[in-house]
Amino acid sequence: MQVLDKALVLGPYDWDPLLVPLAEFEARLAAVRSVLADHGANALLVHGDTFDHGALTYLTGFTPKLGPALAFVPLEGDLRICFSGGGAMAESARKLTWVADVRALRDIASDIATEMSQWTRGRLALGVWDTMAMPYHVHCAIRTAVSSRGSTINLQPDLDRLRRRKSPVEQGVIKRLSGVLAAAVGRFRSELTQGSGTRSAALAAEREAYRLGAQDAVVLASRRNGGEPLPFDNSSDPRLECVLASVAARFAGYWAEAYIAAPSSGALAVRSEAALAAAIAKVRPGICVRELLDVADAALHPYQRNSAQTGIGTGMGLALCEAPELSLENTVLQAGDVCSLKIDAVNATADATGARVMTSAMLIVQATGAAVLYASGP
Amino acid sequence: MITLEDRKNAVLQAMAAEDIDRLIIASSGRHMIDECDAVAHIAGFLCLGPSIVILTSDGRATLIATPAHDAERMATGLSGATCIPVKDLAVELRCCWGQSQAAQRVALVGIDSLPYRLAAQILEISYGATYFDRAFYAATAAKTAGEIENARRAAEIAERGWERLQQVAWPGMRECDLGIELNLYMRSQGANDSFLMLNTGPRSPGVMPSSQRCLQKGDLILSELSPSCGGQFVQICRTAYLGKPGDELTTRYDLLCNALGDGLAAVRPGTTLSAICDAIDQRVQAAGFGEYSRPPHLRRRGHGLGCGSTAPGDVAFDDNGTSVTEDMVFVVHPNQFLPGPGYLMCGDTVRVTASGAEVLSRNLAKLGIIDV
Repeated sequence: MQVLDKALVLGPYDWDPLLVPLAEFEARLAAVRSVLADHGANALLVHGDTFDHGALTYLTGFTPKLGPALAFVPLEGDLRICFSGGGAMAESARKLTWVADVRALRDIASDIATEMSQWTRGRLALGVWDTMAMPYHVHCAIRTAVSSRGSTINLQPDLDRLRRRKSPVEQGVIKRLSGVLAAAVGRFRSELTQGSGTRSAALAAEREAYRLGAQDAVVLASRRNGGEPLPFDNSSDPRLECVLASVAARFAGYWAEAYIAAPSSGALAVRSEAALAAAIAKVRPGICVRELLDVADAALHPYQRNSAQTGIGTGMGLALCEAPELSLENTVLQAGDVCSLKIDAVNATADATGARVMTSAMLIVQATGAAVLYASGP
Repeated sequence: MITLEDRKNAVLQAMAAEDIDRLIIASSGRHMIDECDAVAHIAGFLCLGPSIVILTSDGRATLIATPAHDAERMATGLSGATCIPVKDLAVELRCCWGQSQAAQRVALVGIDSLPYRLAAQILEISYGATYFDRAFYAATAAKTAGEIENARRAAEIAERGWERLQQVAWPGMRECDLGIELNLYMRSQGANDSFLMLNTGPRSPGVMPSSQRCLQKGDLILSELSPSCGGQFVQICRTAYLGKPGDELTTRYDLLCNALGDGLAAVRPGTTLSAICDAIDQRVQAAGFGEYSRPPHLRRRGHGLGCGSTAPGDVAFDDNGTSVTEDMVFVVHPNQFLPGPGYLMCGDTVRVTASGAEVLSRNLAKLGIIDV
């Protein structure tokens, strides 16, 4: 699900140790440091920014709100977070994380240089944990800062593997989140049933999610009957006969999403639900996406998946799209994966109101199969 | 007032002056109040993902945008522009680059904001291209008629948001919940997004993003209400008090309101940003608080408003002499720390007219008093 990111998030982002305890972060830090040691890195630099901060939040709980933030992680000793926004905001920034040393970012290159001098006197091997979206100017600043003292090691693939397998704490948070998601979807559907326009229904759904403790909520919806779910660019609030929508909610840093069709009835909807159920029934560690697609396609027949849909969904967690990469047919599921399986089905012979249906489910991959957290049935 | 076509023509002239044959104008798909979005600026399109506009010296514009499923939204305000929704931007660019372009002079705008792997691919494809950001934005500082209209609507929504704040703020509610309520409300009024800084306390060092702190009687509520319509942000800066304010607070806030009036009165074509800042500073210095009008207490007295262009930049005492010109839109805000009440917020958005300034708010900043 790709959204128009909010310019500034507003929800409850203060670190809550009842939701994600300090022990959880300490375990993560130990695992991360083990990876550093395996690669011969002196320290780790973790980057996050307003729009993209899964790695940073995973390790520190911190959500950057006003620009880039960096976490400096030595092999031993205390972490430091530098955030954008100025020193006056330090008090509120400290509430976002378990890390005690939180200070304003002055300049990426100079702040890195300051940290480097404390890590080693010799050549520096700096691990970097970024995301696919790190801006070019930040990347250049990091390289410039390090180039005179050593080199960087891209540890994203190895560290992202740590994020993939969701711990019991994470699974518990995501289960709670799924309840929030279900309520938001329910509210969206009921608003539409009562005659609301899609924009009004979306705002009502977001409000419901926030009421239940969500940090963020996003709804995309059709602009025309059966149209692609899209952001609301203006105040237009159409009343439609057939709405496709994607609803996402964030709780304690984690995301969940649902794809729905409203109303959801008719042969195409029935087949789509059957296709999703068939795929869910096949889920287990070791199964690959291609096998899930095969059973889904068989159950969907005589209809087809939308040709624009690649794969069968996405992995979810601290980002709306993360491992496992379900758009790739050779991806193999593992125990502990949290996934959003999605069926986007089309009926080539129907008119706009019956031509396309979306349905999805949030699930955890367990040794014995899928634990379904949410399914967007009618 | 100018149109997007006028803006494009200004860029073409700037290209011609530098013998640029082809300009790659890039956006990361992230739209911020205080950062430039080059694709939004040239094409009037808020992309969902990394996207580019290729502008050639003959005036042809091609928008290549991700993700592919955004095809229905893709539209530009440029007549005759081609829109291509794609899954992979670099692949598409490589396909359409071709050997015939090898001899052309190419320049880039907005590359630094792109995800670095994508930026590296584009730099490789456009080998030898130069950065053109400064010339691009220098040629296009004025807002278009459409952006100004969006700014007026956003200003109206901001004021309704301010009214809403005073209706719903109450001791016991969390800052973040107040912020969520205002955000949802302003979006229900037509805003497509909102950059809302809101924090509370008896005495704050500055404005900041909301936390989970609960409002209490005797708190100041500092708010920077910045909704956007069609991607054009505006900003009004307001302060409210939960309870009956004392004379010191009232006097200090009146000082900033008067300083705001001085700043707004200084806005006219040809005025420098430093002169606008100076007009505000003089009032504050005369009251004996000049010390608090400089770093580390204060960084700027206003700024441009994205998401397209953030011209004219910061309203600051140490600016490089930038002069404001007709149809620039920016916020003037004397927000600052004052001894006694601490940080106070007071500011409004203004459009430079042919002879002066149009303040986009109907009602200028005034201390909000919430009787609890």
